[in-house]
Amino acid sequence: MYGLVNRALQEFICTHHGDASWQSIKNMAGVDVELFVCMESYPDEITYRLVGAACELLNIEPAALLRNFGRHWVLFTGQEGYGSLFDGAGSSLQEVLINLDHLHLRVGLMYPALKPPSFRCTDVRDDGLTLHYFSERPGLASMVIGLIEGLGERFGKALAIRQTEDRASGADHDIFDIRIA
Amino acid sequence: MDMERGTPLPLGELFPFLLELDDRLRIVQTGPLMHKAYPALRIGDSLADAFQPIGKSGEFIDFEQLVMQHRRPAAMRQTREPALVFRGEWFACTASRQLFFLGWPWVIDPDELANLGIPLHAIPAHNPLGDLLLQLKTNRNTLADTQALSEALRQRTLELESSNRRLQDEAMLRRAVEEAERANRAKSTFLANMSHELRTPLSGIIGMASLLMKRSADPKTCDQIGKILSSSNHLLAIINDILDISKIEANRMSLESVPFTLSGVISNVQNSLLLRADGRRGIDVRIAITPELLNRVLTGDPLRLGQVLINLLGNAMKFTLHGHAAVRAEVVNTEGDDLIVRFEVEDTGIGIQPEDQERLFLAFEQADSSTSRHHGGTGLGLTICKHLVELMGGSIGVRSQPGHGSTFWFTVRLSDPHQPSLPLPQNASGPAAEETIRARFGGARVLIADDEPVSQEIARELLEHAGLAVDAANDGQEALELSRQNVYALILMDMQMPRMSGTEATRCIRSQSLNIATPILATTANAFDEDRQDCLDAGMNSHLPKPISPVKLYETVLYWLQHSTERRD
Repeated sequence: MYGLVNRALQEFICTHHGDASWQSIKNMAGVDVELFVCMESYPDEITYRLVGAACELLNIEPAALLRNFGRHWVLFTGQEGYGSLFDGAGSSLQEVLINLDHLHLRVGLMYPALKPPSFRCTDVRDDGLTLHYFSERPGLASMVIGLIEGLGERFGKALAIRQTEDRASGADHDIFDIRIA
Repeated sequence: MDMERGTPLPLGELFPFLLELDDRLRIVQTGPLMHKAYPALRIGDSLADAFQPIGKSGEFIDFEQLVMQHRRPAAMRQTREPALVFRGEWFACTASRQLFFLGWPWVIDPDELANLGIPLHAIPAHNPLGDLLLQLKTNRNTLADTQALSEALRQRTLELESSNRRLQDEAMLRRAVEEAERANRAKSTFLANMSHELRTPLSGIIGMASLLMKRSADPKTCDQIGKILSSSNHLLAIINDILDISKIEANRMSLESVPFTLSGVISNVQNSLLLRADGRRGIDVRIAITPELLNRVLTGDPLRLGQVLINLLGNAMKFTLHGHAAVRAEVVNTEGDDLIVRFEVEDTGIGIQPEDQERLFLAFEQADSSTSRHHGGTGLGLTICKHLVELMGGSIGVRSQPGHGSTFWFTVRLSDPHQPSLPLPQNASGPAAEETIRARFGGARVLIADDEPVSQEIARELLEHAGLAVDAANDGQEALELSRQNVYALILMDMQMPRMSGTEATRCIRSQSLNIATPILATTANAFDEDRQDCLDAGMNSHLPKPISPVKLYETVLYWLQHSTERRD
């Protein structure tokens, strides 16, 4: 997982729960990293340990935490450092989701070790689309839902998001049906 | 290529920043993003008006000159805002007399494109500009992270340095404190040893002077010997003060806890002060304590309580030329068996300036430095009083108005042993004790063990004067041998002697001799409490610090002679 994600998680926790909570979470997770370098590759288990400790310490379900984190990522963290890339990613929700894969393709080419996720859009309509999410990492579907919700907020659109396929239940990949109200 | 003027070119889809020129170098068509990169550009503008070439080879002279640049790298800058540089190549089509500039904006940050409203994904995929911009952005972000890391490292280094310095300072401070404490202990030990060394010859002077006084009938000689005794006693008082303060500073001062009455303490205080020159000046001393409290049996350290009272009352008398001094005492609080007793010593003397009152209880301070010149004293008396009172669980203070006298007060914690009277019989004191010894125990045999000839001679003379038969031993071994040959009514035992110490001799006498139960009184210039404890542990009955005062010697000897007679009876 790239450092950017861990750093965003840190920023998310510090913003909503305070610096002291983050310190406790790091201690609990046994993570002794002073500063996550954005484009450095860190073992995935660091991120999972941090999320696990945060859920336990803050008494939040992992799905809820990841969903809020996804929203925070789009609305605040993505702006920091790569704001222009996000701004230029598209002028509509559909365009951004379509271009999301191109962005990850670029990143994946530059940093092969990072194994970024991949997205495919099908049934793209004015009032919605179907988003296919492919990742080697399990358990992050909730974060994708938060991410789509955050994008909806950015474009001022109310969304209805339904996960129609779940890799956790044996599906090939996660699929989300997104409807724009 | 079949391209007509004014019709949209598929070429523009491939090259969004395309410029198409006619042979008069006028712009006839642009790519779809050019209007975002160069809003002021208009179709029909001349190339030289809109752009400025970079490098001589690409100068806009005429169509033929630019045809020469076909497929050569070129760069040019917008002449109007936003003055972007374009990088690309010229493509000449001589048949149709058309020129194409296939290029893109030379930017190094995706923000520059975003600011122009050109999204990164609008850059065609065959053009690596988008990827390079992302790469550059990432590098810049990584550099920022590295700088943040290095700043964090710098801060951490500073913190470590500062905490290192603090630790070093603390270590130095701790060493300095340890050094000071060690020096202070060394000083206290030195003072204690010194006072011992001073006491031994002083003991000789006082003892011999006392003996001379007893023999002399000539009033002038008596007066002179009296002055020797008075000066010696003064010197002894000073040595005792220094010894006390060194014991206090070395934390070696401990208090007794024995039953006593205030009447006994007050009477000792009065006797002691009467012996002093200023105690005889005729100042009226009033004791304002109820008989009930005076005679109540209490538990505490009567000697140290008396010492505080002697000091305060002595000062009161010293600084009062006319008028009176008064001693008051009352129980101010009761906590279970503990009583808090408050004493006040009031005088009508010269009083103390307010600014001097605070310094009074500090060691070596006197109200003003001329005090010692006028009135003598070490300046330790009140410090010793303060420490003693605090050891007795109380506090001390003063109220005073210059010219209107002073009132020193102190409180001490004593306890009530619930005892109606003191168990020990009251003894005859002073000259009466000597008489009683002569009358009741005259001819009794006593042993003196002392390696110091002067001390031995004084004790022998004093005891013989009281009618006792005296044997003398020069060390512990001799004392043990004598005690295995003779029965003694009492033994005076010096502690430090060659061959066998007083404590060892006592242990041997107690285990095997004719004097297993004979009272043995230790005599020593070692004045620390633990010395006294050593004596008691060895089996001695009591302890007489040197220099031995004749009065104290007679009182103690009488007490133990009576005590052992009573026990036998």
